[in-house]
Amino acid sequence: MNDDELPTRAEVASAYLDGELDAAERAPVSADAETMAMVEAFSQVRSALGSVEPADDDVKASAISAALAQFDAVQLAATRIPAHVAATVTSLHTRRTRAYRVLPGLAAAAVILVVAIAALNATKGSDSKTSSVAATRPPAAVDAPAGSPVLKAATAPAGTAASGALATESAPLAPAINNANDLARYAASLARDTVAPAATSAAAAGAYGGASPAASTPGAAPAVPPATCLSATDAVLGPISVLGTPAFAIRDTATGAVRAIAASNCQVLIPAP
Amino acid sequence: MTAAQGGDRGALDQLLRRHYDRVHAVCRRITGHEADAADATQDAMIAIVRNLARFDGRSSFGTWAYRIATNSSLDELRRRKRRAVVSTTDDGEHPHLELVDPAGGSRIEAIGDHLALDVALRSLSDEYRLPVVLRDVADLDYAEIAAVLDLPPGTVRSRIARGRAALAKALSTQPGNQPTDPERPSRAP
Repeated sequence: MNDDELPTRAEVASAYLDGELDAAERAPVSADAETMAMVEAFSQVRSALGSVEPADDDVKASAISAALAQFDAVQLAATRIPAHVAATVTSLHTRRTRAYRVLPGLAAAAVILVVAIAALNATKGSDSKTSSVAATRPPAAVDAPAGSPVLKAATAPAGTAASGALATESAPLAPAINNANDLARYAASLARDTVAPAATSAAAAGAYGGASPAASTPGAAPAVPPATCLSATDAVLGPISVLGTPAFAIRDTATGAVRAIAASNCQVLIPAP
Repeated sequence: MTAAQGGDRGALDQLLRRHYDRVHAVCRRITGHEADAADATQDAMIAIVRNLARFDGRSSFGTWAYRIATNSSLDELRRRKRRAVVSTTDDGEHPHLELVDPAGGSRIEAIGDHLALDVALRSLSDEYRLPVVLRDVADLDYAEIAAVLDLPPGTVRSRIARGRAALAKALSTQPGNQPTDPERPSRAP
């Protein structure tokens, strides 16, 4: 026999005592003296079981103290966070609300960033835009290691007044010039009419707040030679590297002669032939 | 209850004090031993605090607390059985055995009704003792007991009846219809 078989007299009496029988079921039980005696016996068992002596006050206090200590430990663990964080504790709801408020701003910033990067990339890919971007920032050093003889400056549009800025952009690509022949080849590779006259170059230097580029970036080679190094007929062909020394190729537009001068002090490194 | 869940220490203190006696009574009847009941009750109080945030209100707090009390009592009984295993105190030459918990063995001290009831309860296996205690001490209904013990309500009803009948017989009451079937709810040998 298992627990779920037809109720025995004890089950009926037990259910009667517990109020688990409906009126129709209770009626025959109430009329059965034997079953009611069992109900009475079960009732006495219930009374006996329920009459538990209360725990000693000290035991009770100790147990509750232990439980509250557990509570305190949890609370303490929750507050073991840096003071600056604890001072700004907010409800989860508030944090979520704040997060939703910040998200559009972050999204907008991300869009701006992406657009800016795309614009920069587009600028690098277009020489016509290079000057305007470069002109807004200080010139970089021109003493970068000599690289390939790609001459971006040669493609600069004439009269852009940005040969110095162009030099900045092409500084890492300053052609390595070892002697007069190299300088002549370099000069020949440039279209004469694409090079700004010296006066314009000097004006470009003044665009950086009127100070010498060399002065504005201590320790760095200037992007354009100081105007005092140039005559009225000189035109800057572009930055070069003469045996590793940052320099400028200068053409005398009156004679067509080309020379190289040190970027730092205008010393002639390769004289005009 | 809500305040206690929200971190109100005072509210939690009140909640624990309000339920302590009944939780203790459940532990007392399940363990059948005052010291074990005190330990089980304290464990239950701590477990209540530890799990308070998880109480979702689907049952009454009392039902939830008694479930915890039942489990802590059963844990205490298991510990008691381990303690009752003899341990050695070795003096070097004459190791001897002693009972760590002498009361964990045959603790028959038929002095008064309370002790007789404890003995009668101990004679029941857990499957009968727990439903009876949860019904007659914790005052849970059959459905709540079924939930606490993870049993079908019909099984709960049957076990309560059989347990009561066995207790009534042990306490020399006259229930009239003694359970004489082979599955008499007594502790297995």
